[in-house]
Amino acid sequence: MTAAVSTALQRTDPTDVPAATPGGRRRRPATTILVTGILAVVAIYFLVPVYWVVVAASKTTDDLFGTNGFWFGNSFALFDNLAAVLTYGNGVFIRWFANSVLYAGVGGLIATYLAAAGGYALAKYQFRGRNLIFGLVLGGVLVPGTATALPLFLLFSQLGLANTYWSVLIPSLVSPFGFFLCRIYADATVDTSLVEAARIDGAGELRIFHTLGLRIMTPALVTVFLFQIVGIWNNYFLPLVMLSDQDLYPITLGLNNWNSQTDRLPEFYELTTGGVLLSVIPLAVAMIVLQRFWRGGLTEGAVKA
Amino acid sequence: MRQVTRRELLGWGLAGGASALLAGCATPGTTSVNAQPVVPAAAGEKVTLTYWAWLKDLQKVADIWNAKNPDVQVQVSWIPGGNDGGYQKMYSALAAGGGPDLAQVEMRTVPEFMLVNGLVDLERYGVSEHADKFDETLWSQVSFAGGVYGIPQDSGPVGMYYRPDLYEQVGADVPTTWTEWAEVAPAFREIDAYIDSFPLDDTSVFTAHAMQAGATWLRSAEDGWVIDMAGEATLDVARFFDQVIDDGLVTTAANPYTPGWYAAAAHDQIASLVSASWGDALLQSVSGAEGKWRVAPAPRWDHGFGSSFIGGSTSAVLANSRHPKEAMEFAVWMNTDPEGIDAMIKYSGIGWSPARDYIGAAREEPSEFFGGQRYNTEVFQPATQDQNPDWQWWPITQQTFNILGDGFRRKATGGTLVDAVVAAEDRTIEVFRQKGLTIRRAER
Repeated sequence: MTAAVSTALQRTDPTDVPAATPGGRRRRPATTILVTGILAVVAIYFLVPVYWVVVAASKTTDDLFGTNGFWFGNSFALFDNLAAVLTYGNGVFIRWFANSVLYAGVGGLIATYLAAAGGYALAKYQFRGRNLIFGLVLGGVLVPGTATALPLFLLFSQLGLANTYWSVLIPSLVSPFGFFLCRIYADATVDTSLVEAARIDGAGELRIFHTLGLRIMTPALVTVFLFQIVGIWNNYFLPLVMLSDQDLYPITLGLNNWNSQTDRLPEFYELTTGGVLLSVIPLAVAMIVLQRFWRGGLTEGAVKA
Repeated sequence: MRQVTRRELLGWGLAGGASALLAGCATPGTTSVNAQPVVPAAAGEKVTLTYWAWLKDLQKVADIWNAKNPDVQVQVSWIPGGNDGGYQKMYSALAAGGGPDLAQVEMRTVPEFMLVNGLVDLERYGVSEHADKFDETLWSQVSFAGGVYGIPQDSGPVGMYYRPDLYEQVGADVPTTWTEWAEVAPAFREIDAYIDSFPLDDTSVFTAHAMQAGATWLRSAEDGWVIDMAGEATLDVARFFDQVIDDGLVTTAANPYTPGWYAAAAHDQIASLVSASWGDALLQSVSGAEGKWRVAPAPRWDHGFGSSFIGGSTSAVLANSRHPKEAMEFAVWMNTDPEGIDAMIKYSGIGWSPARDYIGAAREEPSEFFGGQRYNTEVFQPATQDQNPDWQWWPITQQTFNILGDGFRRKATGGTLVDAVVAAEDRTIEVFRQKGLTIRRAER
């Protein structure tokens, strides 16, 4: 995905539009084959685990350990397993699923908006200390989320917010990486003369940001949104320390509870693999639906240089 | 026994102290809750207890209690397993000054929680009047320096699962001693099977063998911890398995209950398995295993005991509980009352019950899977009566296991189990001293 980001960035950089030299970038067949080969290997590397999950989710526990892991077993129990996943414990999985959608969806949307606003402001307004702010936020990129989970828990406990939806949502609303990306992207794509033209036309600053800024920055925003969704969806440690009511659990915690049972109750293997399969679907859908927004050059030619 | 002073307890880490031993988890400067006045029982008011456990559907067990005790209601939170983050969660909650009244803590982890002042000494709440309801060996595993730091909840006495058809095929009797076991083992190699597997990276099995052989790796004495990991009993076991592995009589490729092992068992390549009572449920996921397995007592060493325990957990009262007395009473009820035990077997799939007189109604029945054998009353119940009574866990049990496992893995490249045990003893002493705990080697 980082590759996609940088491509998007390069393609929209107005000083480096390669289209000016037609034919100058043609690759030799050997290179094409090599690159395609490497990409194919990488694709297989990423797809094999997903394939394994699909195969494993279709097996009974007997078959899971008794038959080849990379091919279907003697019985095809996919639908039985999925039905068991959805009905176990009065449909608690559906609850976990909805919680994950809430945490990742709301968290991702608001985090993206905040990152866009912050990045745009730093890129387009001159004010004292803006480099200091940028430096601080950049430092935030370097601090892993796991390291902040414990201090956050102590803080939220004192506020009485631990073990609530807020305790997972609020920390998910900020994305230092998104902020960083948005600032760079806004710098490169939101043309100052375009902003000035809007001001001359009488648009207020907020309106300019919402109608011009956000639209121009769409490719970056999609990237930030996806990163944030994936990050929140897969987050384990923060909800682990924050939540102790299983009705608030996201999927990651719930699946781990199921997996913990397999030490003693092997039928939970079926629930766990089935649950894992269902839990990757939203991420796959989000990727496929949103990737078409990775288009650069929205405003090329909007103003005359 | 001489009265132990508080200063001494501090030195052993049993009463804990100001040192933040789990970096970032223990709040510096916390004092032991066990040095503070006893919390009186709630008088007349309604109490709600919280219990964090990774057993499934434990709320259904608590509901039975709740129906009978309107003034003490128990709410169960289902949390991830201890080493999957459950303990981390408890440490975090303790550090924040909160946390549940009760938590599921494994036997082997109890001393680690004591080290961070995480547990209430139940002796101060009169737990000793309940002591005779529990298995003596398990009770002694939660007792340290005159205190009791958890209510035993489940465990797993060791026996031997075996395949009568394969034993018949090679014409061998079921071994009753490890010597006999080593004598019949080569026969199984001729039918492309193994008598058992030896897990090099899960040292809890080796630990159980040493425990059975009469070893006590660590014990808390009046002048601190005494380590005897590399004592004669343990070295005997290590030498035995060094030889067995060198002769290729066991497989080290597939740990019990891993995918490879299940596959081998399904293909008649595993003739027996020395393991804990909770292995019964796991064996049932071996493809086509129904009716093929039976259970016999574990083979014996020429010293030591008939069996040992693998695994086991407690219901421990955490330090910030505001109602330790009520929490303890619930835990005692759940783990010893026949109604509690039967419910825990039915809803939570609990391991072996630590109650002295009752193993659970379902476990007294003949088992269809084991060909009608009443294996629980025949094998595992007597096994609980033939246990090493001196065994204790220590504050860095998991770390010692990891160190030992690292040493065991060198077996594959020419190392020996004996060397690994000796090195693990040295390393454990070092780690104890780094944590400021007093430790000395046993005289031998």
